[in-house]
Amino acid sequence: MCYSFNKETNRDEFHADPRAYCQKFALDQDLTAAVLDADVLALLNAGGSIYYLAKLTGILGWDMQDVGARQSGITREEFEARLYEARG
Amino acid sequence: MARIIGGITTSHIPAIGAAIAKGLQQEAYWKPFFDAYPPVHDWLAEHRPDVAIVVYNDHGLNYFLDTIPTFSIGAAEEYHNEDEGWGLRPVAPFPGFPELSWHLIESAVDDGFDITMCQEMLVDHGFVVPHQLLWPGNDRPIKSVPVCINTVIHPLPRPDRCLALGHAIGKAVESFPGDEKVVILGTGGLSHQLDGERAGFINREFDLQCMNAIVDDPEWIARHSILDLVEKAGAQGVEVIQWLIMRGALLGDITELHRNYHIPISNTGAGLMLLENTR
Repeated sequence: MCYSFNKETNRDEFHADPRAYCQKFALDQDLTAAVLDADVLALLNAGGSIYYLAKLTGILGWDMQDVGARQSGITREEFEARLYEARG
Repeated sequence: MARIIGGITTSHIPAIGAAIAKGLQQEAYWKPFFDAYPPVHDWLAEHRPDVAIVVYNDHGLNYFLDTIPTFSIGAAEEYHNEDEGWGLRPVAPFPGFPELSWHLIESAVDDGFDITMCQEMLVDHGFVVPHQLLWPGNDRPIKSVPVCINTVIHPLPRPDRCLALGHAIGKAVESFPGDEKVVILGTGGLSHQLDGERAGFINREFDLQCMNAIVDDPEWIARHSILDLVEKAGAQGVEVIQWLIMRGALLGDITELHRNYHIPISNTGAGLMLLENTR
């Protein structure tokens, strides 16, 4: 499903009715709930790849710092601070 | 014979493409990154390579997870970029060099590397951003050959095989019946992890070790397993295997002319290196 988001018409269709879009790809209840919640960890655990999931989170307007923060359960500011800490 | 005059490593993060599109190069966040590139521009302007062999990975534009070749080489007249899903405007097509592509493919297969050949191939930010960084503006006086590596879904190719593939590419270029000057780009990296609870992992010490080793001791990197690299460089930091392919193709005397390392660009430790190859 996420691969389909390369096309703008598909992103628009998802945006208009996310649940219907999930049904079109025959996602089960758990997966549909994870997509609707943008629960990236759950989608990874279900076998998703971050490069394709990033196309889903991109529709929500999230960049990779937003995605990182959500996965770590911290704020975006805390996540960015973690990146800068790597400078040592 | 054609010859490889040098190798360049660079990150290929999509946020860089977005920054270029918005003209943010001199903003505080981006300046230390973009300001490292002019010495490489000067070298390219002086030596004027005819061809760029671009070692990169696709991130879900040309390939879906159902079919991802371990090693694939483009053999098209030109390569097109398309919408990758987050609204970056596609850039103009890149001229190819099918004669060299087929020679690389035939030579590498003869050397024991079972290459997938792609006579049509969409190129994503992994290929596009390095072009934008190294040849800014719309005038790119080069032809390109994409060499696409699976770093997306395991199993990934062993690092030592990547170094050996680089050797095979280097040998192939030298047996190409032309007088082209070739530059080879190892793109991606350095350390980063985008997925899971470990997202945001960057390993400065390991990155700097890799930058030293890529000059003097690429076998040190090649002795790591893929899982070693996942542990030390992060799940997406395994892209350093694309640096190994670049380095393997440099068969002459290596001179390091330039390097820069900067944390963070997006979630990544960004490494730039220029290596001259003299035969």
